[in-house]
Amino acid sequence: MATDITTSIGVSITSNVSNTTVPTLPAGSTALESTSSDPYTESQQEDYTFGVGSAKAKGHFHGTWSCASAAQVVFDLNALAGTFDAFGDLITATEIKAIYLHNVSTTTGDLLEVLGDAAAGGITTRFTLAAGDAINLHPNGVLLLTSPIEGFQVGAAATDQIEIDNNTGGAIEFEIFVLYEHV
Amino acid sequence: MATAIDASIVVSIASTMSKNTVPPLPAGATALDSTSRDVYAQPAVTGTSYAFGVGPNLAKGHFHGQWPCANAAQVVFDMNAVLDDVFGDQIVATEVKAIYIHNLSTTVGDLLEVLGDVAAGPEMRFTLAAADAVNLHPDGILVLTSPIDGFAVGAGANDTIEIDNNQAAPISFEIYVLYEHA
Repeated sequence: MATDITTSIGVSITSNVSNTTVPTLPAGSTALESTSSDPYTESQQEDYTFGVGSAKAKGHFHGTWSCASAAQVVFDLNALAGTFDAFGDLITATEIKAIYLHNVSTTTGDLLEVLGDAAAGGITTRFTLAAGDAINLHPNGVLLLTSPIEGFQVGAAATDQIEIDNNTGGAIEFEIFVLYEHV
Repeated sequence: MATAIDASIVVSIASTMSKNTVPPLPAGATALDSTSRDVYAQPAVTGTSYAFGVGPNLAKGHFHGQWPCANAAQVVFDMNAVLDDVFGDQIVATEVKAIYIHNLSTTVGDLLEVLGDVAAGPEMRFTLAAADAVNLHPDGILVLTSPIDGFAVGAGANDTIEIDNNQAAPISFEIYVLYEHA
């Protein structure tokens, strides 16, 4: 198992809309434009260090996978299906602190469905609300979901998976990064 | 309506995991640490900027703000002919290109549920089926983008972003939505 981790996750949004209007003036007048704007900036950074608790984590895994047509890729975070970390140690996560996914395809219609595994237990512990709930991840779309304080709890057997489904006609690649805690 | 837009949405991740092992040595030998590292530098994502228009990496408006959601209640953002933009013009979105939501509470248990509105078809809404929801924990962030296809906005039954609070106290959140209209 890892003995140290340092992770930084950032979100930066800058967005400015503007509305230019030309008022109606008497013929022969010099037209004067009027521009209103609404700038929005947002910058969030989450930093994690090694341990268990708020803003803590003990491991990550990451990579690029190809999901075949009419198939799925399942990441079991609780030992059973054998997801290993980079050091070859079996991942037995207790909480997920962050999930990042990028649908690498740029082809219209290449939809991936991202499912939590919430078959049992309370609503506060998994990243989707109920069993079968899914997020649509469109081509070149990005999904980032974090829980720096509580974490998304990982159980055993029925409540320990992140599932990526591809119900379209061709294979789709995706990038994944998961930050987790274990005991 | 807005006549220009310039938007950029970037997620960045850097993570270094290390494992320090001390190999077994004969008694009296000087212990030597051996540290392995796994460095994750998120691959660059292209196409994170948006200009004014309709199509891939184009958008025509945004809305944003902070709302409190009362306990046992919900806040519903209807993207089709209910809300006004900052210029006082009604939003009649045809696609949502990006959603950002931040649960501003830092209290354990303050869960918000983020629901799409999917009356028909899995392809173009941000959740797969009606009532599907994402759990947004305290101080948690949700970023979801669709720069090429966009999440299609219908009228009536498939045009809302809903934030539910089924907890015992109000929870505030920050939201930003980037959208197209005709």
